[in-house]
Amino acid sequence: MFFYAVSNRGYDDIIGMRYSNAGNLLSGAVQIFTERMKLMFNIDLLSRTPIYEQLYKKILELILKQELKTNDKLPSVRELAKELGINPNTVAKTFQMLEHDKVIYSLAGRGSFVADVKTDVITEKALSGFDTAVREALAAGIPKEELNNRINQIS
Amino acid sequence: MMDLKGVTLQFDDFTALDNINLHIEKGSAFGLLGSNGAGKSTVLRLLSGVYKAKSGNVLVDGEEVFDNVNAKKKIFFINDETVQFGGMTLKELKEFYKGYYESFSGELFDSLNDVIKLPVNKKMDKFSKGMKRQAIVITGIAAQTDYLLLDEAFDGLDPTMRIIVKRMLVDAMIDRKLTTVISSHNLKEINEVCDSAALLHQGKILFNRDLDSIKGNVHKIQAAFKGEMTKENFTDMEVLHFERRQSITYMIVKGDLEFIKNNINEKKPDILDIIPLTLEEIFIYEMEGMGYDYKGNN
Repeated sequence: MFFYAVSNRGYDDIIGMRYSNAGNLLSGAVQIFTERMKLMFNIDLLSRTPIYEQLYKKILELILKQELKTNDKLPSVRELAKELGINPNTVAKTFQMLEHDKVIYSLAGRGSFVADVKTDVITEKALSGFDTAVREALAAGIPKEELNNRINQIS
Repeated sequence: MMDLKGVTLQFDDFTALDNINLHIEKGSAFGLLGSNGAGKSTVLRLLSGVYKAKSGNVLVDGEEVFDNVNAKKKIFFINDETVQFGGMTLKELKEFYKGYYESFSGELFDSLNDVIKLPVNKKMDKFSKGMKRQAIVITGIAAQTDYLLLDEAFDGLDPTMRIIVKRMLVDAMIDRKLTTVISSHNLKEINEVCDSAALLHQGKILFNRDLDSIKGNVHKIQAAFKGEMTKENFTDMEVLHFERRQSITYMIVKGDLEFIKNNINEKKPDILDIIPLTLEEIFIYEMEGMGYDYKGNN
């Protein structure tokens, strides 16, 4: 077997934080990455979920939590790729998907910004998960009444 | 872009590469994975024009690369053998490559070395292995070629340097659409840096795909059914692996998550658990699916 054992993620995180300043010297770009931002965008490189999908969900989540507000500037592809240690093509792909879904918009030469996302777009996304869960529950033979009761209990 | 078309290469009676086809898109970061002796370095040496294929074509931007100075000037190859220029200082190394690559930027070289701070006037045979490695990496980036080939790229670099080198590569990819081809046996590294990868095994390509599309497309399923289930019950799905332990059925299935879920739910399982696989697990099961025994010595 030739695959390396998966190394300890915590270690890489620490290294990433500690030496990020050395790497920043490479780019003349103004660093808008605060420590807080870094934590916000933290993604799991060892996760089973594709990196672009994680980043997509992360940005949606940040908008939903109001950490990113309408017309806020997003970090550039370069900054995100460097900070997260991932391929810039992956970041660019995520931004394209977000733009396609009208979550962000971009201005030539100025970067990407948070669009005036109707909360119903986000609600729609949340509900699609709900729909799947209901379908599964019904398929598993749980009666509709019980599901209704459940909703009443939670809300 | 770079292409290998039906490439075969033998060394005496040993077939290093056997009818390989490979396409590397411009601006991408391409990973070559495989065990020792799988043929990774051979592919890189072909792509950089060091070796000549016995049959087939090795093309860079549509041009045959072997014996083609024009094509070779677009490529910088960082070999896994440490620098051959031990008698030179870093300053002399810079001048040497400046003479070969018209695109070489002395300014960029100096700014990269400002970050890693190697001594410029010391003979490189006095350098440690890691320092030699750093010297050739910054030379490769400063050469500003369209293609950068890295053999066992991150070997001999400490974790700090790895991060710094990755960031240098990010800049080059964004600023001038650099194409990188990176060989490694470390899946984690390839996963972070590359957007697509090929797995080589005994001179053949087992598969070659976009990494994001591989992930999330193979699932591990644990389910318990009332009746006795066999592999034949699931012929409408692409099952890579099937196993029963007592009452639990374990399967590795390729395909769309919703489709798989609905399909299994129709069979009314008592318990159903679906987990996507890690890239590492996917490679192992795919190899098994193709008849390679990963538990053996291959």
